[in-house]
Amino acid sequence: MTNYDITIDKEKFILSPKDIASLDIVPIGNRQFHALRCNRSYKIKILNTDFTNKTMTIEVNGISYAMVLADEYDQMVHKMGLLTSKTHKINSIKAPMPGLIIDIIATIGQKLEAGTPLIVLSAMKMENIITSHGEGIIKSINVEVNDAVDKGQLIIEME
Amino acid sequence: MKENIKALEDKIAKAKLGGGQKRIETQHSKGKLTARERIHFLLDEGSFEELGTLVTHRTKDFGMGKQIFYGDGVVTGYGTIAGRQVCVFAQDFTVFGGSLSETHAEKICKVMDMAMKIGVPIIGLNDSGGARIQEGVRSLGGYADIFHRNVKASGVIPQISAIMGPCAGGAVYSPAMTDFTLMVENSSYMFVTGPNVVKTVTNEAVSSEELGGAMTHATKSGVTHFTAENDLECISQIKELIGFLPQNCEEVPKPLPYSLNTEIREKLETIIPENANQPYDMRHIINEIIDESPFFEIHKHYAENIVVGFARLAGKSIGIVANQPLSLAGVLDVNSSKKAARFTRFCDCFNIPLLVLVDVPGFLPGTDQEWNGIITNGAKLLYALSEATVPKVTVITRKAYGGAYDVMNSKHIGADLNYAWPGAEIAVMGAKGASEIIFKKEIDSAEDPEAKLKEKEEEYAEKFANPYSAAERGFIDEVILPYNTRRKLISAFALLENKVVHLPKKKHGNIPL
Amino acid sequence: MEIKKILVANRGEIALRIMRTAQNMGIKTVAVYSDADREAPHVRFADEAVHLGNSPSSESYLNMDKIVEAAVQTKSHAIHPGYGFLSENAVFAQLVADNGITFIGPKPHAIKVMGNKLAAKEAVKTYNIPMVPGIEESITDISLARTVSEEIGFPILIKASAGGGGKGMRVVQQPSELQEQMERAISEAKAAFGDGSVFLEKYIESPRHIEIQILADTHGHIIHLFERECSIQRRHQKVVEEAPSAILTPEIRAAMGEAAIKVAKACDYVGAGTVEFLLDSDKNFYFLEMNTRLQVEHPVTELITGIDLVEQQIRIARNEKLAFSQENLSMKGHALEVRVYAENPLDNFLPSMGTLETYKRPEGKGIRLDDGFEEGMTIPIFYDPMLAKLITYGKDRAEAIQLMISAISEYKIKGISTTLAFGKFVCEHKAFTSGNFDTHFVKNFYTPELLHQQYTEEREIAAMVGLKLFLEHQEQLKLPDYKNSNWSLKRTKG
Repeated sequence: MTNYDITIDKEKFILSPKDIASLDIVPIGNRQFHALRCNRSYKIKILNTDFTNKTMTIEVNGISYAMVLADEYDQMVHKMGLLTSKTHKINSIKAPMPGLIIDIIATIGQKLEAGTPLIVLSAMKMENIITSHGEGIIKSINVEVNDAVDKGQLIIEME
Repeated sequence: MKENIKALEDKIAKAKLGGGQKRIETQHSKGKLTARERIHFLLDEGSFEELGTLVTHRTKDFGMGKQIFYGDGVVTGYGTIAGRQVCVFAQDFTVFGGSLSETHAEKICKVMDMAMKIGVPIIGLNDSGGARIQEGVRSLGGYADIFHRNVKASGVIPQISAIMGPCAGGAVYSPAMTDFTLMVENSSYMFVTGPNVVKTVTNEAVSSEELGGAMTHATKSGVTHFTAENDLECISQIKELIGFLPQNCEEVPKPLPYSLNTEIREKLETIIPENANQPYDMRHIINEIIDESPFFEIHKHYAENIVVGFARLAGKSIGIVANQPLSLAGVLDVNSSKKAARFTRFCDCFNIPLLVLVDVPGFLPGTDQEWNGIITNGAKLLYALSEATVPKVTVITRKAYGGAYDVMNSKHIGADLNYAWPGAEIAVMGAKGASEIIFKKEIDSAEDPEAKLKEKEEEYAEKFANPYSAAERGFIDEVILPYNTRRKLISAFALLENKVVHLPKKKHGNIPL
Repeated sequence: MEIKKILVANRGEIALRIMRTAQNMGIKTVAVYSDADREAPHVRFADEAVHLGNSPSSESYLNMDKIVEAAVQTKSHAIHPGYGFLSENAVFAQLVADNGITFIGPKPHAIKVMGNKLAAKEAVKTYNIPMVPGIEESITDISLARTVSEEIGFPILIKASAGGGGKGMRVVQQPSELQEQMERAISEAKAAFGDGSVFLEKYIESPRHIEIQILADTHGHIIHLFERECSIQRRHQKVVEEAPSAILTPEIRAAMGEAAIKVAKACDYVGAGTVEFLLDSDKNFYFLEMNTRLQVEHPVTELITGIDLVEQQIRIARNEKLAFSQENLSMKGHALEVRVYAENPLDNFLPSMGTLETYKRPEGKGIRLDDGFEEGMTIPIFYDPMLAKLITYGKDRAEAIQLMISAISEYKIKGISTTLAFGKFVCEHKAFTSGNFDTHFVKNFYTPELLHQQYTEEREIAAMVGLKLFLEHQEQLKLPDYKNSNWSLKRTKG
C-alpha cells in the first residue's frame, strides 16, 4: 500500500488510501463536504486545488489549511538528496581570449564563488572582467599587470 | 478470467521492476533515478500510457535465451506534459545496462513513428551502455533505424534528448541530430570513443568526465545545450523547454495569458555604461525587455559571446539571439556563429519569432579563427538569419560595425523591423580605426599626430558613430527611446503575427556546413 | 463652548470610532495622516484630511507642532487625541490649549501628575485610597530598601518610577535576593528610561487587574461607570478584557468606584479617565495608577451601560453638565473584548507583515467590531500592530463568551497571522470560563503547542480530504487538448 506524506503547517501526516476509505464523508454540493469522525462534526470546504504541484487549500470548520502532498516518488527523491543543490568546484581559470592584463582584482587565498570578479583583460579595445565560473580557493595567480596572454593561457590556479 | 488477470498483473509487476530491486538500488546509489521514475516526474501524474511493456528480445546466442526481461531495457509510451501530448522513451539501465538490441530499437522506432503520425514532440531519456554486443550487427541496424527517423522527424516535431547516463559510440548520433540535448552532471557522458581506446591510440590519458562529461560538452564542444545537477533538475528543464515550443511545425507555440500595462521600462536607460569601452551584460537588457517569467537561456556556457534562448513577450514565446559585450566584447567568431545559427534555424522550423539584439564590434581576428573557418562558419549565421521566414525584429543597442552589422539580422537580409537606440553606432568600423585609415596623410604630417588623430576621430565619430546614416536610408525603421523598447517590440511582434513569406522553391538550400 | 469641528490626532480603529460618534453628533471631522496611511479608512471617512508627513510616528502622529498647525489650518475647534501617541502628553495638551483649541481630555496638570506613578500616589495620599504597601519615594540605598522590605513583607516588587511595560520590574521572593535584584532593576531602568529610580511595593501574588471607568465634567460632577476586568495580559499588554468582572461583589464594586472618584478628584480631573487597581486573592484592592485618556477597551463599558463614552467626552469638553448621576447608572448584560493583533501566536507573537488578502468581518446581534482596515490593505510597519477590537455582548457572561467564540470563527483574515486563534484559546479555557484567573493566566496556561494542538484533529481531517481529492483526481481519465490542432488539416496532402 503506498503511503502519502501530507504536510500542513510543518506538521506531517502519513496516510494511505486505506485510511481515506474509512473516512465517513459526504458531499453536500458546491465543493463542500461533511465529515464525521469519533462523533465530531467537520464542515469542509475546498478552497483551492493544484494537482500538478500537489498542493491544496482546504477549510475545516472555518479555518483554512494549506497542504503539500508527497507521494512515494517525492519521498524517495527527498531521501536521495536530489532536492538539495550541490557546489561546483573548479581547478583553474584560463584566459578566455587573447589580450592584455590591465588589473588583477583577486588575491591569493581568496575564496571564490561563481561570478566572483578576478581580472580585467583588455581585448578588442574592450575591458573585460573575467569572473570565476565555479568555487574554490586561489592557490596562485600566474600573471601580472601588463602581461599579454593567449587564449587558454593559465591565469589562476585553484587549490 | 480471474487467473488470467492475475497472470497479467504478475507480468506487469515483473516488468516494472526492470532488472530487479538490487539493480534499482544500485542506480539510486549513484544518485540516478530509474527509467520509470524519470517518466513519472516528467509526465503529468497518471497520464503515462506505456506501450510494449512486455516486449522481450529474440536472441538465443551467448546464453541470452536464459535472460529474458520484459521491456528489454527501454520504457516507451505516451503521456502529457502540462496537458500537452508527448511521446517518450526512457532507457532502463537496470536491464542489460540499458543496451540497445533489435527489439529495444524497435520499441523506440515505434514510438517515434507514432509521434510523427500525430505530430507531437518526442522526448528521449538516454541511459545506456551502448550497443548490446551479443546482438552484433542487429544492434547497429537498430541504431541506424533510429537515426533515419531522427532525420525524417527533424524540423517536423521537436525532438529532445536528455543524457542521463552513459551514451557512447554510435549511440551519440541520435542526440546529436535532435533539436536539444541535456546532460546530467557527474552521472552522464557522451563520446564516440571512450578513454580506454583513446589511451591506446593517441596515448592521451583522460577520464570519462573530462573527455565527454556534462561540463566538457557544455563549454568546449557545445554538444550539450543544458547541464543539470541531477535527474530532477534535468527533467524540470525539459518541461520548461517544452513550454516554449509548439507541438509540431504546423503550429505556433501556445501563448500564455498576459494583461498589458504601459510596458515602459525606465531601467533600460541606465544599463549601457557611459564609457564606450566598458562592457555590460546583455542579459540585463533582455530581462528588462521580456515578461516577468525568466529568460530561458540555452547553451549558456558555450560561446559566451553570444546569448541565445527563449523568453516570453506579452505571453508570446520568442527566440532571442543577442551579442554579449561581457565576453570577448561581443564579437562574432566560429563558435558563436554556429551556436546562433542552429538556434535560429530551430526557431524557423517551429514558427518561433526571432528577436535579435545587436552590440557587435565585428568578427574576432586571428589565425585561430581564420584557420578554423570563421569565413564559412560566420556565413552560417548570415545564412540562417537570411533564410528564416518567421517574424524577425532587430534592436541595435550600441555597436554594429562592418560585416557583423550585415550578419546580425540587418534589414537587407530580411528582417521585418529594425530599431536602433540613440547611442547606436552603425558604421564600417570604430571611429579610431576609420580615422587612422582615412586621415592617414593628415595625421602623419601633423605636428602632434596623436592630437590630430584624436581630432579626426571626434570628427568621424560625430558624423558616423550614430544610427542616423542608417536611419536616413531606411536601413533602420525607427530610432527608439530605450525605455520604450518593450512597448515597440510587443507591438512589432503583434503586427507580424500572421506573417507569410515564401522562399523560392527548392529541394533545400546548401548552407555552408 | 461650541465644538463644531474636531481634529482626531490619531489613526486606525480609534480615529474611525471617534469620528463616527462626532458625525452622529453633527460635528465635522478632520483626519491627519502619514504617507503610509493615505488610503486608510479614517482618512476617507473624515470631512477633511491633513497630510502630516513621512510614515514614522515621530514625523507624523507624534509631531505636536504639525498636528496643532493642522488644527489651526482647518479651523478645528477641538482636538481628540485618542489613545497612545500624544494622548497623555502634558506638553501637547498645553500646546493645544495655548493655541486656543479645546483639548478633549483633562487639563495638562492632571496629565502630568498622573503620568508619574510616584507623583500619582503622592497626590491621592490624602484621600485614603488603598494602595499597595510600599515605599513612596524612589530608592537607591540598599539598607533602606531592606528595612522597607521587612516592613512591607516579602515577596516584594521593584518597579521603575519612570516607566512601565515590565522594564525595571523585578520580583524578590527572599531577603537574600534583594541586593542583587535591586542592582539589576536600577541598571535596567536606567537603560530603558534614562532614569534609574525604582520604588518598592508589596508583590501581589495572583493579582487581578481591574480598572474603573470614570467621567468628570467641568461642573464638579464625577461618576464611575463600573469596572473592567483586564487580567488576561501577555507581557503586560492587555489581550482580553470584559465588563463586568466575574468576581466582584456589589460592595467591592461600590468601594472601588468611590475610590476611583476620589482619585479623579485628587487631580481635578475632567473628561473620561480610568483608574487602575490590583485585586489580590482576598479581594483587597489597591490603587495602581490612573490613565488620563480614553482606553482601548472602553467599548465593553459602553455596551453594559448603554453610554457612548466619546460622546460624553465631547459634551464635557463643551462644558455641558453630565446628563446622568451615579444613581441613574446601572449595568446590564456582559461584554467581552478580544484585541486582534497582527502577530503570530505560534511564533512568539512576532509581528506579521503583509496584505489583507481576505478580510471578512463577523456580523450579527451582539457583535461589535472596531477596526481600521479593509480587505486589500497592507499593514504598515510603522505603528502598533493592533488590527481591531472584537467585542461581543450577551445577556450574561456565558453568552458573551459563546458569541465571541463563534464571532472569531466567522472573522476571516488571510494574508497575515493574527492573534484570533489565541483569543479563541482563552475563551475556551476552563480557567477563563470559570472566572478563576489572574494576570498570570497566559504564563500558566498558554504554550504555542497547545494552540497548535487545538486544531490537530481538524488538520488531520483536512489532510485526509486532500488525499481523497487527489486520489479521485488521479482516477479520473484526462485527455490532452487535441481539438485545436492544425496538424491533420495541414498534412492531409502529405
